[in-house]
Amino acid sequence: MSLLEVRGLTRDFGGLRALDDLGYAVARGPIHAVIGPNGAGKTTLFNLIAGIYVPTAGRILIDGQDVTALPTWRRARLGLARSFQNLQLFENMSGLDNVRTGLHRHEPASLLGAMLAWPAIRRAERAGRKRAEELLAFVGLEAWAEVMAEAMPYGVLKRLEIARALASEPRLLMLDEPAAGLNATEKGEIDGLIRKVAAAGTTVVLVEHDMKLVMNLAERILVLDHGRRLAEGTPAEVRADPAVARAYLGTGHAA
Amino acid sequence: MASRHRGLVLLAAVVLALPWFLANKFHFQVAILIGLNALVCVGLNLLIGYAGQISLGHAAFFGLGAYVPALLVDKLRWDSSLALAAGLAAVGLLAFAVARPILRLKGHYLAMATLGLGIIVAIVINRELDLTGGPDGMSVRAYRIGDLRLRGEWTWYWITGGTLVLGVWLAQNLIDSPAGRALRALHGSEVAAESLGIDVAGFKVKAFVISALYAGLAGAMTAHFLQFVTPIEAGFLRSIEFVTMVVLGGMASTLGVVVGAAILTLLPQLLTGFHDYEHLVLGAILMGMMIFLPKGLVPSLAALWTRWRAQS
Amino acid sequence: MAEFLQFLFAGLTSGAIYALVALGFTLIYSSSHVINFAQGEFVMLGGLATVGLLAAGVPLLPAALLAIVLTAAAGIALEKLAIEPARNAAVVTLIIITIGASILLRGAAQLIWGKDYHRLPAFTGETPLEIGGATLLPQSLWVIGVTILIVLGLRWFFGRTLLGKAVLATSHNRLAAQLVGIDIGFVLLLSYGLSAALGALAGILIAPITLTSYTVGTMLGLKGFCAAIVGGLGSGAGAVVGGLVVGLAEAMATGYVSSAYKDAVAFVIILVVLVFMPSGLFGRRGTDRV
Repeated sequence: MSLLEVRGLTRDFGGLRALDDLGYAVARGPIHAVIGPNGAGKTTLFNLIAGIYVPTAGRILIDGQDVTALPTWRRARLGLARSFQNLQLFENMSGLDNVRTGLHRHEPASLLGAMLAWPAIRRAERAGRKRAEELLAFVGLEAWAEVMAEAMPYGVLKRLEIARALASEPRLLMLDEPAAGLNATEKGEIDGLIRKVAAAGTTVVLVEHDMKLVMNLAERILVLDHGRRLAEGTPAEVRADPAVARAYLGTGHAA
Repeated sequence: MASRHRGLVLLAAVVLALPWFLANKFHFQVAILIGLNALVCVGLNLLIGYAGQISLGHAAFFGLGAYVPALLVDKLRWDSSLALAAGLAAVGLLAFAVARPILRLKGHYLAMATLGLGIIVAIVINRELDLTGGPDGMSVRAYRIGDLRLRGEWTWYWITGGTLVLGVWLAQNLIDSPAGRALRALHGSEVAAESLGIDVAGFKVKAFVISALYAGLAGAMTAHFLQFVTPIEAGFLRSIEFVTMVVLGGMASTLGVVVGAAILTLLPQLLTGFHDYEHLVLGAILMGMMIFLPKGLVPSLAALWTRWRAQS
Repeated sequence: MAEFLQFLFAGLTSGAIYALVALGFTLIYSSSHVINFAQGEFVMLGGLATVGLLAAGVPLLPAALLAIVLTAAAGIALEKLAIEPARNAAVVTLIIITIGASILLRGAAQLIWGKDYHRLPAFTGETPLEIGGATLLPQSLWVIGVTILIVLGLRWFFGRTLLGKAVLATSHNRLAAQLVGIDIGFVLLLSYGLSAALGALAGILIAPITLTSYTVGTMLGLKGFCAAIVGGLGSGAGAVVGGLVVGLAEAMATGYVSSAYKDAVAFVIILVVLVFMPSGLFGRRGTDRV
């Protein structure tokens, strides 16, 4: 069974069809990538999978369970985590607290218990703190633990968002343009980090414009164009596909 | 963690030491009212300061907390504690019932909806003359536990002080917990909080209900202490006063809002000599503080202090 | 029928006033994204300043015009002294600044004109007109007529004049407006001044019917705010419709149900509208882009 599967997924915005009858399956394990020209529907696909948008038609399954009707937070509790194209850190919190918030689905979230300082919650707090510190170290941000997110540089925020997503121990990690806006060195660091995450057993799907990064990292690539599947396969197969070349060169849309 | 307890210890020390500096009944009365307002603000701060959801209607909960137990005792001869429990239950239920639809709103729309709710409650209290005595208010019986009547400044000083310290302890425990981080997270980014498995709508409701209960309890205590209550306690300006205390002292700073409550309760007392100028001065101070210290008094001063220490 | 007409006249009169107040809210909100909780105090200032000038011997028309100018100056001062210095503050901070301004203006008005209610003479006599068995005060015609003129005037201003278009452009996209050379600072001052003038005008029009005192601003302001939100903040047509909706509903509820809860009607409407139509009747629904 696929970890993630979408069937006949369609989404309209007004008169515009952003995603058109898409079928796509993500197997457990390797690094997957979704590519395509601007406006191809990549981020729409992510937002549909995450539950930010409601599909016009189609179904979404996680581990065989139909989640189409579930709200975002319930899908996240099933082990779906993501980063955002335009960064959505908690600016009012420190680096450490940002990551600790990622632990939410594994922690006791009772308000009453928290107010009365129940021992179970204090214990979970200590364990959570330690886990969050490990995760900050994992992404190389130990030094930023106590800094407020609003005071962090862009490259740091990118990695902090990944650490926060990892804290939820996702089965599937979706990264929306993890390398966008980064310089060559930082891209190298993100590349290494994604490999490390995948090696630790998390399935990764990423949307990315940097072809070099994608071709290096991904084992399976889905190419979207105008909301439709253009091609799918290994980097070599995708690269050899004439339809893909046409789409990227911006010709041949008349048909 | 350490700093959280430091603040609590400081507050407890102030509560314990203050009676030595209070010269007369009137001083005690002001101190008690500061404590009761601060209790409202500690709860309201969970909603406004931490969860980032504004409410311009919390005086409604304060007023209901005052009126419902008072009426149950007065009209139905209920036992004080039972009436208090019923009053808090009513406040909690109302808050719970309205929270979900109202808290879907954001920014000015949320402000308007909470304001509307508050005004409707205040109008009902004002108009139901037979029940509440209308604008003239109603007298409230002293709180009774068996044959013991809780009366007088000395008694209520310690009840208020103890409740405030307890209320701050509970709030700070909450802030420093998974649930507390969930509240701060939905303030920072709702979509990111949802994406981490946080039930944003659910946590907003919980924060709203808890802050309403703080206000309701403080309202009940105020009515029992003063043995009198008027609809002004439930009115729009009272709601504004609570929000101003929170913002003035410093949002997301529990000790800050206590300071905010103290300042805004003291100010009118200090201005009584200039009775005619009271509103003028109050308005000017509010505007000035918000323009020059938008983060609130305590956080702004704390930042100054940190900078000063770093330089020397 | 006569009864219905009577309520209709009452509703249209107060609805026109709420519409003027709501237009003031909308104007300031469009240009600066601030909800000005002192809007109601402009209404109060307009009425009381006219009363004061009349008492000083100034004839009605110049007194009213001067009162409008004075209130507009107060609006401009509010923008310059309080809103501009706090431009980057959070929504709740700005809300409290304008609330502080409203308390301050109320305090000043109490000092100048005392705590009593004051009466402004009707513009053209007090003899009620009889229409279909219902009576209509000439002053109500003034209220409705002037409001219609103002709405038409504003339409012309925003649709046909360069300045009006500059204000509109600023409300749509401040940065872009700046890039094409619009003086944002001036646009802001203009919208605060204009908004205060609208409020003052409403206060002068209604004072002969309802009396005026330093406290009348609060409720008028809040109901105008209701009207603005019902109309979906930021829409001029919405503000007018919102004002009429609130005014008519209030008059009908008072007439047919109970007058005890007159003041609650606007707030019940606002809760119903917000719960079922979270962006108001005319507002656009936004989607978060992530």
